[in-house]
Amino acid sequence: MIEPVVLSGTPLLVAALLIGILIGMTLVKAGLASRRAILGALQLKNGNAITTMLAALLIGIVLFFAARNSGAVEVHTHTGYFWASILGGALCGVGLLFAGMTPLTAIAALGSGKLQSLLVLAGMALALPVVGSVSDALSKTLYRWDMALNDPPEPELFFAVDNPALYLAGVLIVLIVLVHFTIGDKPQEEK
Amino acid sequence: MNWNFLNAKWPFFLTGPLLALLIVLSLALFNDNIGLSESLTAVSEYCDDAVANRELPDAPEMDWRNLLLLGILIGAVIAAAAGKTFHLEFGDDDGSAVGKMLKPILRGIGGGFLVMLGIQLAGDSVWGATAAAVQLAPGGWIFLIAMALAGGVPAILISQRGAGKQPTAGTRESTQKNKNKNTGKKK
Repeated sequence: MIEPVVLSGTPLLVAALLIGILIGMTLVKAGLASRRAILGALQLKNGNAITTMLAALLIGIVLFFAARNSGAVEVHTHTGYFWASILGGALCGVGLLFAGMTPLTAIAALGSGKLQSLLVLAGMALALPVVGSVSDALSKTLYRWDMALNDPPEPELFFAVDNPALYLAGVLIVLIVLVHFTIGDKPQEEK
Repeated sequence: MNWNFLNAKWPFFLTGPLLALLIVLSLALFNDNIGLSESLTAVSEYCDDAVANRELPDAPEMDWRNLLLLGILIGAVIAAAAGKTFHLEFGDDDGSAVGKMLKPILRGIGGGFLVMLGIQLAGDSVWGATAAAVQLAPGGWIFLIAMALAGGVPAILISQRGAGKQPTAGTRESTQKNKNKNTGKKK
């Protein structure tokens, strides 16, 4: 078993900066740091963006399983709530339809010179006080009658019947192959 | 195969696994949830204080989440510069000058507002939800699927509606459209 690496102080900050740089570079090189790319993915026209996300989930599931079983990493998730996740995801999806950017891709888009990402980030900043002001109402309604979701499972074997990761990986592989043979996944160059 | 690594866009079998590796590496090194909503909240509160007090307050504590955001910005600049795709641009609309300015403003601010509203309701950013999904958290998967459906279905419908409005070649509409296009051309 590997001992988890525990960083603190300056090494932690340096690691965060380096990983951030790699994330930013990867998002730009994947073509995800643009409104056109995200909209193309939503419209099922940009296969490269879709397969990038699907491949990230697929490889991530396998990598995380291996890392967790070796002791190198532990599970770190918030407690999820069913209706909050659905409503939040739906609102986010509708917002993506207009903005074409998530917080991460908006920052990456800003780095690649797309100034409209400033507007998206401004809109995001405006939402925070609104959520703060209605959080009391949400605590009395949505979060009270919502049901907490189970903690993530921690299976010991990957190829086991009770391991959801196995089924998810299978579905993701099928989706990647489907996108490859229908939409195509050639990286799209910017004009 | 002549493929310039720095200039060209990278294929999905490179970028997907890279993102996956970075997610797992982040979880291992930071030993914490890697969602960005907390650092975005901190930056927003900083901006709120600056506007309210009309002066720049002390910079927020530089923790690993803020440096991750800074790193993403720097990385994007490096990649865009290396690929010679860095150019300042605002909006991508055709049409009138007013439309070119107004549409991106309404779309950007409105869309960004809804994205963050959704993130705050769900309790995690898209990046955080992806990391949660990788860890098999049900909430992460529910969030991502709801996001894909709520954004994708209208996007496809709008796209098909727009395609349906284009006149078919050889019809009266397309002939009239071509006629209007040629008006004013000198013989």
